[in-house]
Amino acid sequence: MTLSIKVKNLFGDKQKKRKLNALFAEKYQNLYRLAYAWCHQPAQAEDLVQETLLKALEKSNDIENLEHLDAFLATIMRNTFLDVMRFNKRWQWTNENEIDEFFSKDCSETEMIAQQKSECLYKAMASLPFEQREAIALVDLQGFSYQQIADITATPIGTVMSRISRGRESLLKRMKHIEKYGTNIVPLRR
Amino acid sequence: MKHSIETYHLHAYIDGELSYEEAAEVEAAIAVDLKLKEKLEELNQLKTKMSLAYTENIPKPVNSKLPNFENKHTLENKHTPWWTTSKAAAASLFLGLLIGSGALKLYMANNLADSPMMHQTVAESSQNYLVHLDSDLPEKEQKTIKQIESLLDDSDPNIRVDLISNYKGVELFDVNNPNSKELLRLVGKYPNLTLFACKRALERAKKEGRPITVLPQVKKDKPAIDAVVERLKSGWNYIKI
Repeated sequence: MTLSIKVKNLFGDKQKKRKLNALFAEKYQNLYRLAYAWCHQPAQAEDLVQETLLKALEKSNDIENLEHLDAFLATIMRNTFLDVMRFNKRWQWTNENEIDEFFSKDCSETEMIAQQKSECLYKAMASLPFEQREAIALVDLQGFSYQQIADITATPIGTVMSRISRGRESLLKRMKHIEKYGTNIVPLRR
Repeated sequence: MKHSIETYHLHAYIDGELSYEEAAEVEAAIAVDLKLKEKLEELNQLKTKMSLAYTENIPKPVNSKLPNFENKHTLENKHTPWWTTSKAAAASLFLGLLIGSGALKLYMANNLADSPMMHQTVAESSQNYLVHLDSDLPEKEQKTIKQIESLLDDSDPNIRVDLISNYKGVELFDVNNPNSKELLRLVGKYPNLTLFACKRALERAKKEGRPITVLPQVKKDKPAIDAVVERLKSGWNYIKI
């Protein structure tokens, strides 16, 4: 079974490299879902996935067991996304309102996709604080356990639990608000 | 009714994060607290909706830029991520070696073309169908059977159709269900049809005193939500009855 193959010293084995290449291709769409749920911009999501896979290649010698590949990739993607936000100085130098506003701002592509399906859910997700959006996407889109999310986000498991619980409650409120008023909402403050 | 269940317990319950005893405590509480039960249903619906979200317009790997171990010599048409206009200076050497449409084409030609996994991913997106039933209404059960037959009749013989049922939909798989014979006929006729019953729904039905004798052809080793998500992640077409 491919997933149980140990990939230590991967660079020395062409066949194993090919298997990892194929696995990365297989993971692409799933990673894109996560990236899109985090940033809500299709082009940015594609870049994020690409950057993640590149970094994963660089660090492939660190992969001890492909069973943990999903968590490994999610961790890289999260760190990459945080780097992006820091790099743009929208993480360190602005307040949370501005981060939320930036990442929930609609572009024409996002608008079109949102109209097709789940418009309300997407708008509400986009307006959540990032740490809640991140935790919900990891548990609901990727099926990670709370412990895995705690490891990926380097956060205590109690905090993960709280983010998921508060995030979903907030998501429901925001969805109801959007359904009622038909417009996006000002992000709620904690 | 008095109980010690908090909202965060419900979230952990739907995420399968509670121990058996804790889950039993939640189940006992929702049995007597209608508001709590409604809340749980609301959260379950949200979780299901989330699990199915963000599946539209996912770019296929074949149309994207995939890095790989080989073909590092391809340097043409560098791609610059949106956030790294200036950061690219530091990272450009490695990025330039690996990213680019030229690299992608070469990668696709050399690696993915003969990769069974890649064939599976691409093929699945267009040829495989997941039919999801969560109701025991006879008209919905019949509609499900018709839908499956029309998919299997009209399409490529290589098509795969998986019927996944959860909640009350598992009743269709009961040997005593009047529609199960028709379902068995389809299973006999089409080897590419597979039936899955939600493990949790079967356990719940048993716990509630209405055990279901499932047809032997039905797989029942995992929760429906896991099976649905697995397929959506692989690009299957989703049909909700």
